[in-house]
Amino acid sequence: MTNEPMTNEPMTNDQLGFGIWSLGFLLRVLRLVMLAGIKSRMEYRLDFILRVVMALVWNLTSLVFIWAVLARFRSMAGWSQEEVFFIYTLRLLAHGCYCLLFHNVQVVSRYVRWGDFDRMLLRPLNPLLQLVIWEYDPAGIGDLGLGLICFGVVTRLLELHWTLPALVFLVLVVAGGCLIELSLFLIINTLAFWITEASRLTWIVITFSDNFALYPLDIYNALLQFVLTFLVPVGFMSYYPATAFLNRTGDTLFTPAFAYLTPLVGLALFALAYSFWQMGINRYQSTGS
Amino acid sequence: MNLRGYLKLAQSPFQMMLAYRTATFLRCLGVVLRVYLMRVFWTAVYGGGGAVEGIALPMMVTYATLSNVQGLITSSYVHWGVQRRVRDGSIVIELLRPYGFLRSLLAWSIGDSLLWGGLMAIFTLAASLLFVDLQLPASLAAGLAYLASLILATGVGFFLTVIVGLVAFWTLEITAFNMIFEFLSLFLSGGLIPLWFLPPWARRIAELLPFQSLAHLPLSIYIGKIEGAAIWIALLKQAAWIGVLSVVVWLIWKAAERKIIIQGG
Amino acid sequence: MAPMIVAQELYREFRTPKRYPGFRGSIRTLFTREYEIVRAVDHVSFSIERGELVGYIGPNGAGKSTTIKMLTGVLVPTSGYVETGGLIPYRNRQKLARRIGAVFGQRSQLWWDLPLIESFRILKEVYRVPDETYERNMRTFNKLVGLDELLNTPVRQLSLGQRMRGEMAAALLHDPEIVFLDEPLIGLDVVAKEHMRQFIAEINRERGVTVILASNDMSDVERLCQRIIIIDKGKLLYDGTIEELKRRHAPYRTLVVHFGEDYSEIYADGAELVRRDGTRAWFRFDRAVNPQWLIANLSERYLITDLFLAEPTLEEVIRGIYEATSHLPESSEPSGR
Repeated sequence: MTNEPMTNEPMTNDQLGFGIWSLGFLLRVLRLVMLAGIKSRMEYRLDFILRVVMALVWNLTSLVFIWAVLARFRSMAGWSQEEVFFIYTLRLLAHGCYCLLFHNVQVVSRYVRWGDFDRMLLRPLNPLLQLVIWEYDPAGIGDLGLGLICFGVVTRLLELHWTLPALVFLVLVVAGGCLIELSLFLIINTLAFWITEASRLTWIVITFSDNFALYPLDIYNALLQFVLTFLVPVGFMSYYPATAFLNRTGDTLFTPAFAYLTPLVGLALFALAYSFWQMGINRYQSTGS
Repeated sequence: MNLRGYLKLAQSPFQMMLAYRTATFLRCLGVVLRVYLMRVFWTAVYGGGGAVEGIALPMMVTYATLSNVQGLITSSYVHWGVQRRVRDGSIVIELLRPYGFLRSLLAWSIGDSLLWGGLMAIFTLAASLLFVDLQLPASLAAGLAYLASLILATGVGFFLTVIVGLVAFWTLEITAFNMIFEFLSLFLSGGLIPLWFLPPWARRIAELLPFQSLAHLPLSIYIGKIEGAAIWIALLKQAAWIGVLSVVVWLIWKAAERKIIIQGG
Repeated sequence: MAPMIVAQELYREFRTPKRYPGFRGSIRTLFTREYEIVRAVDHVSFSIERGELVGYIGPNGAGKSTTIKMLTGVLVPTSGYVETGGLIPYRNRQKLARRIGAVFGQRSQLWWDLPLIESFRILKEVYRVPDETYERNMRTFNKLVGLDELLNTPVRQLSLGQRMRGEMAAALLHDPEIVFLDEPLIGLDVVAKEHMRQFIAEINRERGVTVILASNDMSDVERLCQRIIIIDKGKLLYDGTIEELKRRHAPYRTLVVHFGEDYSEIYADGAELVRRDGTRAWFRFDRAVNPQWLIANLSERYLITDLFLAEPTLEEVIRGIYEATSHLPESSEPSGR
């Protein structure tokens, strides 16, 4: 009586919705929509300032903690106070970029739950891109701003000399770290297509990124080092590239090559997360959530 | 409002905990993770070295563990309830209720802290024992005094939170105030960093403020940093703060009442 | 010319795991392999030509929204064939998205806090609407529904009627070939509804836009749509014109009368008393009967304080269809076309 179910048919690449030839179009849309988001948020100026301050306080808590303890104890696991501060700064820079650009990825589960996702599917634009830029909130400027300040301070403290190649690598590292965090949150939010309560798990990613990633991985046991390198690779946001910048690649866990892998890890993890996301959309279309 | 009424009010957090099983579990898990991270952190920071300011690593780990676990008991959330009632206007009804708004808040908070918080603390502590070598209190007396100090700390925390909540009468949105408050309390209470590790100027400030009653005093008693007669002084200090803060709360409450009556909220 | 929309044996079911009561039951639910199957769309077939204005009517939960989701590519059918604008919707979602517009009554696609014009500017960019087309459309919308006066108001400050005007314009901004309207008139007052109906009729007439109008209220579509499709519990019940529908399955009207006194016995010539509630009475009469005659007949004998004429409701019509087809075998053809 019934025909062959159509859910096994592969989806075409139409899902991507953009190609290199329409980059100009993409930039125009991005600019317009993000500006709209900013304008919308500025309607509630106080609320915006509050969110920025909240993010600052959140980051400052860890910062003051590390600073105060290491002022007294001077070093941990062979890393000096300033070097640990450098690890913290790298992570904050990457996190700041993530917050400024992609923070909205965390509303995915809300959109799916409330059925607002259909609208995204009905527009001729990549739905993930839409989710990230719609209702854009520039509050991440606080995190990134603090990160830049910390960067200035730690450069002076450690008397780092930034050559052009080093700076280029720094940008790549920050971009890679940003992609890592984005990918982790994307994976958690994609779970919302299967488990509506998946948003509760964001807290786990936050704990790893906000807490565990702040310190040199040397202080953890083998299991945690494995987890922070291969499973929830937040180690690549801070610790591994730090060994490169601070000329400590002799101490890098596992292999010195890891010190330079952050950009690749970011790209690879994002590719993984994006495929998972596609699976999520397919499921949404097949089961009607 | 008789005893049964207050008992019922105290029970509701317990029921809520059952209702929000997942949230409770996740909260406990969060604390356990933090305890673990702190153990690893302090171990690395001590780096095999001996005592610093008279505290050796095992005691420091004990301090950090207890600090996180007892936070489940001493932390209070009544400020959100107060803010909510101010915002939707139901605070006016509370003014008319015979048993007094503050007394009902207290009853709710006690149920919250001792029952809900206490249960969570027991579970969390048990889980933490898997990877933390918890030191026993300096003496039996110290242990008992610690428990007494903990109860007093809960009282101080309650009144502090009420003050934060009452700010809602003037600003309606207490989030900003609460944030600053929590940030200060985190560092000045000794909960995150023991006060002996702070620079002298910070320590002096902390000694003048009530926050140290929340963590520094009870924990110092436990690990024996405060001993003998000094224990009584510490307990008295906490009780004194409860007294001072309750007067402050009463003053603010009266001012708020006047504001409502004159301005109509 | 090929039809705009084709649905053949369109079938969509939803499986929810069977739930068992109680605590032990909730454990059992986790392991159960038994499912409850809801047939949201049950082998529906129809085809719609370019430029048609079709009403898609059914009670709540009948399967209207599910059908629209399948026609637009949001949902994949469990089985059957669907084609919109010559494309298979769920395989060519974004390509199709350029050519269709949609208004979902409850959900807004406009920016809440910003002036209406901002939403249009964004949509213009997203749909890559050429400047010329954009200008032309904005002028047309202003002419038809007075859009200009709303453009600088934040959407959250617009009334529902004003907002729906904006939603419709937004859906039409990119000159779509097909427009799906899912309960666009819900919550609007009589005047606003009329304006919206005129707007819809105008764009259908002037631009030849194919319109699918889904609703659970027959009066919404009565004056707009030549053709209506009725769906209930996932099954297609009727596909044809309204006149034919009424003639066949609801060949009557109802006269509701408020009497001045509580009469013990009421009767009317040529009408059937179907319901009585104190001083109120419902008379059902054949369409062929002139209501004036009926009213005159009644007022001769009784004191009447108020009365009004009612058309058959959707429920009554559907009941009529069930009654008409109940004696036919299971897999019967839907009545109508």
